[in-house]
Amino acid sequence: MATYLAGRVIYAIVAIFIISVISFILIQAPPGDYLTAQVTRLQGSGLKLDEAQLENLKAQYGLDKPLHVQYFRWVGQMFRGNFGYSFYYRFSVVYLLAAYMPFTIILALITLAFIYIVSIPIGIISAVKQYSVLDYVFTILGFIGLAIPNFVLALVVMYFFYKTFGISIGGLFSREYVDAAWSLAKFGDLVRHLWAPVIVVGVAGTAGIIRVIRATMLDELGRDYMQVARAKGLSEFKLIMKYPVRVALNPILSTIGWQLPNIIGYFVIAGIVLNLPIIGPVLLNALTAQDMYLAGAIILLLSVMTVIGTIVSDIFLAMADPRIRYY
Amino acid sequence: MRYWRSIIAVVLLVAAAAMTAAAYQEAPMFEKLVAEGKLPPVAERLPENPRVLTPIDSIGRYGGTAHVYSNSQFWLWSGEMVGFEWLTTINPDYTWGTPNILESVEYDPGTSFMTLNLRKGLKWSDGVEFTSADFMYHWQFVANNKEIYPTLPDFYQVNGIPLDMNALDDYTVVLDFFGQPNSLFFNNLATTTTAQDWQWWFGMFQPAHHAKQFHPSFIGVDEANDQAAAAGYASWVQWYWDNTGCYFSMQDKPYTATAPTLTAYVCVERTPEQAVYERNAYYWKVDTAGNQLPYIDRIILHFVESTDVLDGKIISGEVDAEWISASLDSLPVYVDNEELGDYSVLMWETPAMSCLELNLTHPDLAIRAIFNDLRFRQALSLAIDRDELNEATALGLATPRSMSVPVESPYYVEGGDTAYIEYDPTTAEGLLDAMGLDQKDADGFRLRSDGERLRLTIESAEIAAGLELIREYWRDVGIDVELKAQTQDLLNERVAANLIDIMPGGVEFNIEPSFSTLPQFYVPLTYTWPGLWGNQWALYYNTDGAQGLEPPAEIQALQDWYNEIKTTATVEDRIAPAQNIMASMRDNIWQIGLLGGQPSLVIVKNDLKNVPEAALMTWDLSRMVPYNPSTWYFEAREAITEAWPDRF
Repeated sequence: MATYLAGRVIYAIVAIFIISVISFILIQAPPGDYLTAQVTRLQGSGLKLDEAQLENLKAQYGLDKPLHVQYFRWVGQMFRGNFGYSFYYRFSVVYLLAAYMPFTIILALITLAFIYIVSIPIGIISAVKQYSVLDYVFTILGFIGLAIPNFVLALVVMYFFYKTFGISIGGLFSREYVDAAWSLAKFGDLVRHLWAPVIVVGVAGTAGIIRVIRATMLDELGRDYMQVARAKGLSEFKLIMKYPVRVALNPILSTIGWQLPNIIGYFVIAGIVLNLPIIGPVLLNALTAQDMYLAGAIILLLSVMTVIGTIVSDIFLAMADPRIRYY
Repeated sequence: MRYWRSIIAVVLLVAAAAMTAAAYQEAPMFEKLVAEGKLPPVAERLPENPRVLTPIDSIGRYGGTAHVYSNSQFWLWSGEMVGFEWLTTINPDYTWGTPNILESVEYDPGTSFMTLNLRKGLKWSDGVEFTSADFMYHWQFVANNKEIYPTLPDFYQVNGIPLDMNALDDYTVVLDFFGQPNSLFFNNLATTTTAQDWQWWFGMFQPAHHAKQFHPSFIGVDEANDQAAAAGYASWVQWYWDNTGCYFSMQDKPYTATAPTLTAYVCVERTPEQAVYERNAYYWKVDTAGNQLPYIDRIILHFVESTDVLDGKIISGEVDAEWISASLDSLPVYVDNEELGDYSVLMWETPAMSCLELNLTHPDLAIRAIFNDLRFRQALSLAIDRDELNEATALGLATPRSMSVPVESPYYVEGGDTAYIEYDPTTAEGLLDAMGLDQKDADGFRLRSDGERLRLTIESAEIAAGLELIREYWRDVGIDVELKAQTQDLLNERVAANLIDIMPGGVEFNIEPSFSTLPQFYVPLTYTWPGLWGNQWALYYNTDGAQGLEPPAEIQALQDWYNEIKTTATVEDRIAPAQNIMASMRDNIWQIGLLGGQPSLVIVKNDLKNVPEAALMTWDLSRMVPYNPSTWYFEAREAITEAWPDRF
């Protein structure tokens, strides 16, 4: 187990390094850079900037150096805890991550919990009661959830919440609580606003997991060991929970690692529509503005989360299913 | 009778004089601070001769917090309620130079000396006096610093000769143009566009007492470099700008962390979610009753992620004022919810207009020849049904127009806005046939002289509904047009590389000061985005003939007229060359005008007073600046009596 773990960690470090190089190159791949993008906007409104001034600005921003020099400067600074400066937001990247990450993680965890709590029981029921009314209802609901783009659902839910409960449109807090110190009232306000994003993003995630569990369960339900166990007089509930469910959870456990970054990904568009103070919309802004240090830091952070999550789920899997071998 | 009248007049004059000399009133927020001695009395905070503003409806009352919204972190334009302050202002009626920060400006066209007179006792928001030293500091250590500006900013030069700046005393700055006539410099005193330097709109001065703490000439090069590196900057210049910044509202860092300002408000808190602004204790304007402005205590600028969210905030009545992101597309929704949200939708005018730019210096010689045939441009213009376009894209609220400045402009020429705008596809087809595009292929599309089908592509950052209509209009007269959406970045590169056939364009700032400063939509002057139509001619102009294409005589004339405008002795002398430019546009259809005069929406809560019902909205006038948001007030919102913690 120790060598297995050590091996995984080494792979992880290599993977993160490669990801950091690729993401840095990809961010820089579109034509132009942050500066040219902004200068263009200003030129549209009559700014005159000659070549010498533009070159000077590039030097001031460190954008005149070759790509690999910029990359190593970026990575070198990162080891000293300096993630650079966001040109677009005009805050340090560390400050922005600290401002946005906590809510991002809280929201993602709550959504993840919502997805599992809803989808695992439904998956089990629709497998056990295959082709029953319940199965059909859940299947239809699940597919609808999967098919509706979540920004559309977001708009509908937002309008509904505003019209029926008078909850202000967008955001995680009402205006008066955004800046207020934490209190019971502020917490209540947060809970009132949390519903919409959790449902909007959760519904799509739920549908997929229901299908996975249902399919794996169906494979297991017909197996011979089920007959044997029944013959031996095991109660139906205990039988299902102890054997097929355990097997059906395997695919869930092995994907748990990238569920978190996945959900953060779902939240990019939904986050814009719902105006959530989370990292998804920030990433999109950073990418469109070619704000490379900010975009790079976020992508790297999400990658690190994925890699660590994968290691964790590998360990879970090895523990939950003795048939899985590791090298 | 007459005798009595003059006595009354004298009495009124004396009363007015007595009033200005008498106590000024201030907001409740500062009363306690003055009593505690933390802040000097209001009379000492105001200059000897404050600018007096006349509120358009009524004298206001102090109080309230205004909530405004922005969907961009980079452009804090919705923070415009905080205000811009220029040395002088241009007025919507084209009159020039109402003194603002300055008390007066004297300009002698004969000697070309310009004298700027400062208001005695005007103070920065930290209480330090604003003097000619702030101009001289900027001139010596910023404008002429080779690391900040490798070349002296354009507007400090006339015909390549730099001006010279001198301070006569603390309150008088003299600019010497060395005999070069330069009425254009009035633009730079009163402008949003010409005095722009990258992301800082700096004007001609900086708070010297503050900025010196960040300048290598005062703290040493090593110290500046070290501090900049420690703060994560690639160079001291960016660090310098971030800490000294510009002197007005774009400042987006908490007051204690950034430079003092001259605006009505100072920033007291800034997070990625919002910026909070509070009244400037040293603001140098009063109303006609002697109340120190502004009336509104605080402004909170909330950042939202999209215009959809902004629309949601508007209809639910959370937005106190909005004039930048409110779009015409959403007008029906805004109007439907007016009562529920307790706001009003005002329709202001704009001088803006939209057009299509044909690349007249196209790299493909066959296409270039076709585009340069006047009959082709006339035909394309006649083939467009602008009334339908108006209904489909602007709810019928715009006006069909050919490319022109507004009728109110002194540069307008007769017929400039109506050239070839009628919908006449038959005449259009006739013109196309006459110019030799009469051969068609099996699909009914016209062939070029070399037998190939004439295919044109309109490229833009987004495919708007209007473009789809135009494609159909032009296909109807036999021209094969395709639409192609690109990212803005790619579009920029393709414009600079001169690869584009046709691009939608438009001029948002169609009056002074942009017109004289850079009439790039009427004269080929820009070879990067948005300068497509005379791309290579503009390159030729900008490189003194080293690169690009030599322009034909009529384009040469346009550029010569522009050179003339740049160096006239007086503002009036510009009218003749500017009218020549407009007449050339009318006669040659250099660009195909579409719609103009589209209304600009201004949304205000019903308890916000002193906002004009209708007015002209344009970035040329710095949008709201002529309408003085510092005189706006809330009918009944409570006054804030405590200043922001730790501010004083």
